[in-house]
Amino acid sequence: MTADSREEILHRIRKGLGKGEGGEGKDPYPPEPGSSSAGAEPYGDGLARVFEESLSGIDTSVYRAGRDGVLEFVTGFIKERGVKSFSIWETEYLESLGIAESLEGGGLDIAPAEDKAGIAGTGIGITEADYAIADTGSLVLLSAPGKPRGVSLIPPVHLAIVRKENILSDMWELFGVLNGIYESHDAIPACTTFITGPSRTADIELNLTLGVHGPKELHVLIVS
Amino acid sequence: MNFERDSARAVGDKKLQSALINVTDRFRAARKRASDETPGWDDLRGRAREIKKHTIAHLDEYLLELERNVRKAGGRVHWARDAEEARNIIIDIARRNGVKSVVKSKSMATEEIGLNDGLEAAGIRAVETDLGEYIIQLAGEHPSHIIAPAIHKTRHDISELFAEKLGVPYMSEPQELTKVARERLRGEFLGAGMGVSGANFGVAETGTIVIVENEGNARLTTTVPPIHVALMGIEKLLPRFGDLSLFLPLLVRSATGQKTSTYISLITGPRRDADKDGPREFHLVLLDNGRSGILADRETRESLYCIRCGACLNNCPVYRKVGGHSYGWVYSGPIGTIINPQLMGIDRAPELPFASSLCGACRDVCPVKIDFPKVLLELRSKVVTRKEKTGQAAAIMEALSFRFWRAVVTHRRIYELALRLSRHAQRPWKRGGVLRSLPYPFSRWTDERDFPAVSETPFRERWRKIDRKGGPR
Repeated sequence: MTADSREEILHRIRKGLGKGEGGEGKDPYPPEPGSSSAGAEPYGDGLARVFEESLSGIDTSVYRAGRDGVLEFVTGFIKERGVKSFSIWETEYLESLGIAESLEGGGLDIAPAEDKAGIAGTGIGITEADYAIADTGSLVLLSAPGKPRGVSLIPPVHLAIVRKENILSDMWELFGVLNGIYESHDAIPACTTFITGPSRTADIELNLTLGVHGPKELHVLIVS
Repeated sequence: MNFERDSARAVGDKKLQSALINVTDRFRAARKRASDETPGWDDLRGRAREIKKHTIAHLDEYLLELERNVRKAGGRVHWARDAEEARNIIIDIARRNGVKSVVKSKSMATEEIGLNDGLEAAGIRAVETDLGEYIIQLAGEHPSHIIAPAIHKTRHDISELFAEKLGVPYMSEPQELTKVARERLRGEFLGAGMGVSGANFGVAETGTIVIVENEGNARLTTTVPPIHVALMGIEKLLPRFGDLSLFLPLLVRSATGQKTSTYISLITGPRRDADKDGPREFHLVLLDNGRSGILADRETRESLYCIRCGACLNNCPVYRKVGGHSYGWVYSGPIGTIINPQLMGIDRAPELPFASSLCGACRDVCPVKIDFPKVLLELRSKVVTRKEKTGQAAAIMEALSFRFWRAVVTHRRIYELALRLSRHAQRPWKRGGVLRSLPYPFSRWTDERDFPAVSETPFRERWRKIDRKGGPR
């Protein structure tokens, strides 16, 4: 059934386009304009500041810390909220900071990533954004074995740690970087997620409501 | 479908009228601001159009490239000629895996194929998870706007609906209502055997499908259940991964006026072996359902460039009065007037190309610069030619009237005589410069609007006087 449909659809398309079955010589892909990011000047040293400003416009709390201050910040952040369990990405950087051990030592439970209902029951998910986009205030998360998608999605609070050097200026720059990484097909993750602010809806009389499906709160810690 | 009847009903519905103005004004203002703030907006639209034009001209090649790359990433690709085949493919996947319940994220393509009814008929529960779509599904209705499907419902309507269908107490705060939906739908996500989504874009180069949203329900739909099926119209293709850096901002800014949406998911195949979450199976269903037929007409082919942002709806003076349900099918507003007749067959929607004032506001905001007035005129001419060929009385009458009109206006003396006669003939109906109600067949016009009366002293005569006095030349 499907094989026939495939041939039939391709045949209809070629007929519609007035082409032979083999597909004729391609006219070239439209040439790139000089620079796609028209007017997007590099922000230079101010990137983190621009990122901060963008985030504050989209209901997101921003914090700053030096590398040495991250552990203290995260512990305080969690204590303040009184949650009993959490889920966290297992990246090299987060492990080097010893966040998971320290929180477990403090009597909190970690929900394993395989356990969706478990993650759903936790109060907070902690991730490390692979990239951030200053211009839009977006976090970019690439899925991987230690980096499950549910952690930034299922708990009611998402805390993302962003290393200052991973902040890019705009979407054009980001896609340039991703294109470089994804050149080899094996390097493409199952899911690349852009997150800009907390989950929102305006489906009831255009009233803005946060936390409809994803986290109600998004907190970003910039580490310099 | 019956555009005349349904639009008349919509215009008389006060609640709907205020909801329509409210939502379209909000989206229009937001789009305007976002596009003004984007440097080189018009050039970006031009470039997007070029890329779409190129993609559609090579649709077969790019579809094959997409198929190859989805497979390389471990996904499966299915081709569906029409709605029935698409439904059967999806039902089959569900049956093979013993799926009893399906969660869905918002997708116009699944509306187009009537997937929910198909699944229910096959004994599989389908639950819409976008808040607006969830409300519509509970009410047993259809979406009235591409981006905001439940805008025609007030919080009061929704409170009553939830109380009746979900057995919760009456509550009128949107926050409370949203919380009820969140809790109900969480259970659905965790229990579903399969998630079905649409796709805003499919990237040939990488085999990636892209979903843009604000709520997070599409992320849950494509992450939590063990199987993910995406249904995509064959025209939603982009050649290169990097094209997204152009198309994503264009789509979101045109749709809601946000700089970017809350969530964007770029999905390439199922979860990798060592990944700890994400679906174990990924299926992409490529839907033709009349799209390939649009290719053959070079004049209307650009209808396939559409990226479904909804900006044309919000800016259309007709949509803003008649709302989404008058268009009789899933797509409404200007985009509905051009693609419904082409996808359904022009005989099944002959009224739609006429549901436009040809003002061109849609063309001016379209992120891929679709020339709506041109396409509409082309379709109108097809409708009229067809009617004349089949000898429909009204069509013949109309053709004769226009021939008569041409004879009058192209002969000066006949024209002047006709004007003079009309000036006298109109007197019994003239009220303050307009004709309010005329006898048949002219009542076809005056039933719905006034007709301007012929002036007592035409400009031509006034000009003669000015000219004699040596006035301005």
